[in-house]
Amino acid sequence: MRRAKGPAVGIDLGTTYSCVGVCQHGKVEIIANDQGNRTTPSYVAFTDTERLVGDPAKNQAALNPQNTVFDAKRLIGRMVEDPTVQLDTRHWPFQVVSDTGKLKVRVSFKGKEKAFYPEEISAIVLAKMKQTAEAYLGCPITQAVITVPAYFNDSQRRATIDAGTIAGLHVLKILNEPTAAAIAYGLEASRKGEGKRNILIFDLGGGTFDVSILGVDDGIFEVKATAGDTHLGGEDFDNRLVDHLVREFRRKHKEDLSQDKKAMQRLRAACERAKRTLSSGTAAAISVDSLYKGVDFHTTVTRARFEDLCSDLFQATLKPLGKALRDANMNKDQIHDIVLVGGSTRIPKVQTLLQEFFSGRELSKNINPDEAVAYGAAVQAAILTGNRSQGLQNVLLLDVTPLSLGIDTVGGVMATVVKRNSPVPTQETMEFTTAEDDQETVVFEVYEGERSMSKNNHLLGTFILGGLPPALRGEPVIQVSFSIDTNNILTVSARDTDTGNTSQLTITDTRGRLNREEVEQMVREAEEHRAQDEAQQEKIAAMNSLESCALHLKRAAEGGQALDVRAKKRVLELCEEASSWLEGNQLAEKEAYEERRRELEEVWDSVFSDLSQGRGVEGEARGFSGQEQRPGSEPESGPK
Amino acid sequence: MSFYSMAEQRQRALSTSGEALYQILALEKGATHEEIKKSYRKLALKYHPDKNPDNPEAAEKFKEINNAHAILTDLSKRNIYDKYGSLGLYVAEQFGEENVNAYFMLSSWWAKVTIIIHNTVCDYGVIYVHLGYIVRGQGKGSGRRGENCGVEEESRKGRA
Repeated sequence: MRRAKGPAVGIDLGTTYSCVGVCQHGKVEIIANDQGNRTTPSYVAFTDTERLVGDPAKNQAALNPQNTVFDAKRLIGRMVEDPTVQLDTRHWPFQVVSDTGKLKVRVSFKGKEKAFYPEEISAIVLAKMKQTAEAYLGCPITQAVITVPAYFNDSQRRATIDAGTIAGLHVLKILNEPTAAAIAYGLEASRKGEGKRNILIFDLGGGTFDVSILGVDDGIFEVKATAGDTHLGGEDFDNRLVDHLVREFRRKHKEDLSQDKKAMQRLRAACERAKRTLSSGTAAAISVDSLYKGVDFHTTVTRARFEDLCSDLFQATLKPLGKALRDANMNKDQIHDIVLVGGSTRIPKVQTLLQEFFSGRELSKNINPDEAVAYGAAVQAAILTGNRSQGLQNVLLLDVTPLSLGIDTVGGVMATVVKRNSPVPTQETMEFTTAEDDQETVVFEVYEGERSMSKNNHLLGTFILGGLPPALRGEPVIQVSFSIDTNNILTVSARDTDTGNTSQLTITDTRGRLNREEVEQMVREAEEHRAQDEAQQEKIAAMNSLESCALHLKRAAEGGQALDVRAKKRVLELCEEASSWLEGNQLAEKEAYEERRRELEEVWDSVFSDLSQGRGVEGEARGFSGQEQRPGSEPESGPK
Repeated sequence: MSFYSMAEQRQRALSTSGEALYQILALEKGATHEEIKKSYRKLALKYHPDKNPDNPEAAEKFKEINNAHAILTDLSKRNIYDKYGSLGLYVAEQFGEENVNAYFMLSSWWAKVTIIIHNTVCDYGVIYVHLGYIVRGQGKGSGRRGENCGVEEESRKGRA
C-alpha cells in the first residue's frame, strides 16, 4: 500500500453535488472550492475550447445543454438496457449511447464528437475535488475515501473505484454514505458520553435514498441493517415539477417545449430553485423570460401542489425504512436518534412522513445535511492513514453488505451464499455439484438481489470451472467461496475438492465493467486532459498578465509627470496596440502573449532607464515592472 | 470419490463439539450474549482491516471473527451450534434451521443401521453423504428450494 505524504481526504461524490473534507489534528474541515462554495455541482461541461467542472459547468448548462453532463452517478456501473437508465435518458439533455454494450455519454468537445464513460465523468468531478483540497492544503493529495450510497451494488462500487483511479487517487476505501453520516453524528454524541445508542440515518440526497440503522457504543459503529433505493432523490422531485409545468405550458400556450433542450434546462433550473423555496415557504413563483418561442412563462407552484406531485415518491421512502428495522430486528422504540442527511430531507412533507412513522418522535437536525457525509469520510480517511489523534484511535466502523449474493442453480433459483446485512469483511463457502454425467465444466452465474428467482436479480458476472474429471452427475463436490472485503467488493472462487483444481477460473462476462487496460488508458487520457486544462489555465493567465501589464503601463505613463511627451506617446501607442491585438487574438498560444508582454516590458525598461539616468526614480512608476502577476501565472513567465 | 473418503473428510472438517467458534472469540462455551458482544468489539479493534491496512492475515482472521460473532449472536443458530456443532450449522444450511432436530433424530436411527452395514465409518458423516448426495443431485446445494426442479431443467446448467 502506498503511503503518501499529504493527508488523505474524504470525498462525498454526490449525484448532484460533491463535497470534500479533511481531518487534521482531530478536527474536520470542509473545504470550499475556488468559488467559495462548500459543495461543488457534479457537473462537467465540454465547450469548443475547454472543459468546465463544477459551478462554471452548471452555470452555463442552459446555454450548452447537449454538452453539459450531470447525474453520472445515475449511470455509473449500470448497463444501457437498465430500465432506470432508459427512463432517465428522457430527462437528460445529453446523449447516452451504447459502445459495444458499454454505456457512454456522447458530447461535442473542441469541435469533435467524443464519448465518455460515466467513470470518466465522475473522475473529472473527483479530480476537481482533489484540486480543491490541494489548493487549500498546499500539497498534492493522492489518497481518498470516497462515499457511495449504502445500497450501491458491486458493479457501481467497482466503477466508483475506477473513477478514483482515473482521477489519480488511490481509493483507501469505499464508504457507505449513511455510515459516514453516522460518524459525523455519532462522534459528537459519544463525545458527550451518551453511551450505547441506536441511530437511524435517513439519507435522502439528490439522486439516492438510503436508510441505515447503526449501534454506536464507545466509538464502535456497528451497522445493523441497511436498505434503500439507488434511484430516488431531489432530482426525481424536480422532474415531477418540470413535467407538471410542461403540461401547464401546453395548456396555457398550446406549445410543447419538451423537445427544446435549452428551454427544458432553464425550466429545470427554475424548478430546482422553486423546490428549495417550497421547503420554507408555502408557495414559489416560477418566472422564465422568453422560455419557448418568445413566450414568457410566469406561474406559481404551491407547496400542496408540489407535495401532491411527489406524494408517491415521498411515500416510497417508508418501505425501506420498515425493511431496515425488520432486518435489524428492532422496533421503532429501540431507535434513540433519527438523523436527517441529504438536502432533500429539508422538504417538510418528508420530515412529516418520517415523524409520523415514528409516532411523532423528534428528528435530529443538528448536523449539516449537505456536509455530514464528507465529514464522516474525512474522519475515516484520517483513521485509515494512521491518524493517532485522541478520540479517533478507538473509532471503528463495522459495516454490512447491502444485498444478498448468490449463484444461479437449476430451475433459475438463486442459492444465496451471503445474506444481505452480513457484516463485512466476510467469507462464505457453499458446495455445488454437476448436473450431468462426465460433465467437464461448470458454469456459475453470480447474482445479487433479494428475489428468489435469479432472473429478477442483478447478474454480476459469469465464470467457468473447467477440468473436472469424469464422474457421475452429482458426485463432484465444488466449493464456491464468496469473499467480500470492507469496500463490499466481491471476489468469487471455486474449487473442485477432488482435483483441488482452482486455476481454470475465468471471468467470462464482466457486464459493462471496464477492464484494467481500459482504466489505464483512461488514466493516461485524464492526465492528458489535465495537462490540457493546465495549459488552458496558463494561457488565460498569460493573457490576463499581458492585459493587466498594458493597462498598468498606460496608467503609469498617463500619470507619470516625469515622462517627456514623446516617451509618453510611444508607451501609450504600444499599450493601445497590445490591447487591440489582444481583442483580435483570444485564441492565440500562451507563448504569443508572453512574447507581447516581454516586448512591452522591454520598452518600459528602456524608457525607465533613460528616465532614471536623467532624474530621480519615481516610486509609483517602478511599481509595475515589479511582479505584476495574477495568481496561477507561472513565475518563469514573469519579467527577468 | 467414494462415499467413505468423503465421509471421513467431512468428519474431519466439521466437528460436533461446538467449541471452535467460542475459541475464535476467546470465550468459553456458555458465554453470555454481553460477553460475546464485548469480546467481539475488542477483537474487532485489534483485527479489523481498517486497523491493519498492510496485513492481509488480519483480514482473514477478522472474517472468522465476524462469522463466529454472526452465528453466536443469532439465537437459533447459536442453539443449533451449541447442540450439534458446525455439522449442525451445515445441516441447517442444507435443510433449513427448522429441520435440524429432525435430521439428527433421523440420522441417529440411520446411524445404527449404517454402523452395522459399514462398521468402519462414523455415523453422521455417512448419513450426511447419503442425504446430501440426493439433495445436491437435485437442487445443487439448495435442498429446500431446489426440490421441485426437474432433471430436464438441470441440463440447462450442464452446458458449458
